[in-house]
Amino acid sequence: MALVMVGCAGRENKAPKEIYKIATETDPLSLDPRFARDLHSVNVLHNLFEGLFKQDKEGKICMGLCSSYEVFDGGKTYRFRLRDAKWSNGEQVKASDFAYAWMSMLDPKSNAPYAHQLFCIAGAREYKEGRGNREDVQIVAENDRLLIVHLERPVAHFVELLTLHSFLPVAQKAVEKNSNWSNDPATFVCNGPFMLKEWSKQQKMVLDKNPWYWLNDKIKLDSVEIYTMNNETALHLFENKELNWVGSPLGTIPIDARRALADRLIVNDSAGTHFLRVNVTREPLHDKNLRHALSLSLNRQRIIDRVVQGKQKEAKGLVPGFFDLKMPEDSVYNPDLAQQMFAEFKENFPEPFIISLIYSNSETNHRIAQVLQQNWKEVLGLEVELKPCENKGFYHTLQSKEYDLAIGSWYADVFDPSDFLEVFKEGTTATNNTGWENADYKSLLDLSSIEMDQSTRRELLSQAQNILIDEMPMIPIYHATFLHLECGEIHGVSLSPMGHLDFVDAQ
Amino acid sequence: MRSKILNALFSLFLIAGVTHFLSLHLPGDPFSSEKPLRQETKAAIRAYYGLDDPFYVQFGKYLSNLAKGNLGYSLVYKDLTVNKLIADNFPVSALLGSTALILALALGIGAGTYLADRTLFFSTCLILSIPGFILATLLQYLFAIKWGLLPIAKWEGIQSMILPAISLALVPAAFIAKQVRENVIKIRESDFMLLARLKGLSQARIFFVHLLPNVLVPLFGYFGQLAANILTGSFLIERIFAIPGLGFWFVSSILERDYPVILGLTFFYSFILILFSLLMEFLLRLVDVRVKEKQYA
Repeated sequence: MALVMVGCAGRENKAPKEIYKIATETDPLSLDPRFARDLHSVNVLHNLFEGLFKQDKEGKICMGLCSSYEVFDGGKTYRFRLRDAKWSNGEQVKASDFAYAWMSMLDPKSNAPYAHQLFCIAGAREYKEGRGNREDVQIVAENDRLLIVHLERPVAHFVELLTLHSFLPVAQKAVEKNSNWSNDPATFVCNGPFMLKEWSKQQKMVLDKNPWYWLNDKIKLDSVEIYTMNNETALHLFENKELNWVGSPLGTIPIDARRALADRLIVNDSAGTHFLRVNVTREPLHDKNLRHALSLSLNRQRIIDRVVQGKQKEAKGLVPGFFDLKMPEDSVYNPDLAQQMFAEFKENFPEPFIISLIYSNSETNHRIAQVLQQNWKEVLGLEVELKPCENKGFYHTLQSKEYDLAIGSWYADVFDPSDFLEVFKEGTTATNNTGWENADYKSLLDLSSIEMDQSTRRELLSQAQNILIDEMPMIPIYHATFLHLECGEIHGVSLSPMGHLDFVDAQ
Repeated sequence: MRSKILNALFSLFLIAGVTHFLSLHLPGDPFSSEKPLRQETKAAIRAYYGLDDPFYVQFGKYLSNLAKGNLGYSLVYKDLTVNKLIADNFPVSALLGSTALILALALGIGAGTYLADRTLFFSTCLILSIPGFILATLLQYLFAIKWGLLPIAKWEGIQSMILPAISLALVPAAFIAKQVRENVIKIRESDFMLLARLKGLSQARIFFVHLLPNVLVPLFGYFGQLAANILTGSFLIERIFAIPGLGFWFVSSILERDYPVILGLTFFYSFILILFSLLMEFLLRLVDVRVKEKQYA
């Protein structure tokens, strides 16, 4: 009896659980990798699943479930060898799980929002658009550990593409058994560093360490608890030491609090740029001189220092500095030159006019808009009318091109300059909305997508961006940063420039 | 009573129709964002949900599903049914709401009856002129953050109910207190009260059997509507205290243009409102003899 009691007492002396608590301003919309669109879903997905390749905390590509790969045929054929890995229900991760996931997205009947990211695969576009057969899609699971993919054309950054959540595998058996598998922790099957332990919508999500993960012994955290709440309340809880992390990427540090928190805020560079879209189909913005005048007269540092207060960098172009694209040397802020160009523009367009600036009504945008209005009044004597819009109304107005200037931003889906530049690739691209298009720009982008030599590719992309800067259908403002606060004894949670949280090294 | 129920059903039908029509015609659609869907994908998704069908087709489908008790799927949160949404979140709002209602009644009646005139006037004025969410933030700051007596937020245990319930109860309590005071003054001098005092009845009996029912009966209408509002959750209070109730969904569904959720929640709210109105009517008939008599007049 005494021995049993001693035995029991011994077992109870476990080390306290290492739990990391983080706040989010909104729930993930879907934890099925095939249907996720928003950053919150993608963030959680990258911690629950692992694909062929993944990104480390600096955004560099490293091997995931792929242990080795070969490229043939001038970049058109890839053979991926999978390592020995298991799903969280103990079953083996097979090449057919990847094939199943990708094919289900390409099914014409499926609503996968990012199916187009798979169109580089031969036969994929035709199948999705109902013009081709399922058998013609060139994704082959040769055996349990070998996946072969044939591409339509060589794609320079295909390996980068494979780090996207759209290319994650799903457990075929579990998914076929229950189409609602991703909503319930009891039926959720994943293969990443963590698994879904609990999910009360709009309240709390718990991710527990996944004992089946192939690198499981490297994970020191026991669980991550994600609480959904508004940003102000999250900040209060953080100050009360009830949370370890508040702010980006899952939340936002309230703009009014940034000055007081200035010395404690942790700043991470982000692969995102904030800019103004210019409706070049509307007079007088069709005149390039006016567009340049607007850009040159803009004191970006003032917005960075007074409004967003996050050590953001002034933007000269659309693509952030990570990629080292060659840009023109001239300064981005030159009020004298701006006034000169404005005077030139006025010679062709002497009538007075008012420019309208539309934006989605967030606290940050309200302030940026007011600074812009004041700035252009001071330097150019220009009247700007501010038109805040409710979020969905804003996109409606933007898409119907009923605006002059619009505040916008782009955060990369893929860590590559083309992801930014393709926003304005064609006049009809859904992300463009400026009415601008340029044949040289488009052909440079097309060339760069098949160019396999990295430095030539960078040259092509630089030229493309320079056309964009010269034509100015968008006025860049600043390259974004992620701001957050951390506390507690657990360190090592990292945030990549893509905004993905990584708990793998935390302890 | 039968005609009232028929009226209620017709109101619900009208509410569903008008809400459906209005929400479909709001500018903007559920799928637009800073990262828009490609045209083909958007067209396919819209076709899948039948969003391009004429209004009467969409409404017809909605009604037939409604008859089967199926309120539809969220367009924004994958695989989330509106039924599940309500089933998961309404109990939280209802629990918090009921606590707030009881508090509001207790505080309102107590203050309305016993507080000195001037105190009552100033305190109700103050509470009724400060917006509810400012009162809530103030309470949160004082009792949770500054003095650390209660949890700041989240829905974990009975303690976390206290501040949100008080925040929800203060404004109704103030309103009830004012009404109660008015009614007490009116009724105190009436004949039957004089008779009760002359008969030598105890204070307690006079208060609970003669005074209170007559004071409260005029409030029945207000109470029905108050109950429906509080039980379905307050967006602001629930956000401030991070409570997973229904309030958030009312507002977010409109901002997101999540049509099935907008419809489902509006219908649910209307249903609760009408239910409580009918209930209070029924109670009124039960309690107030004069109403019964008017029926036969």
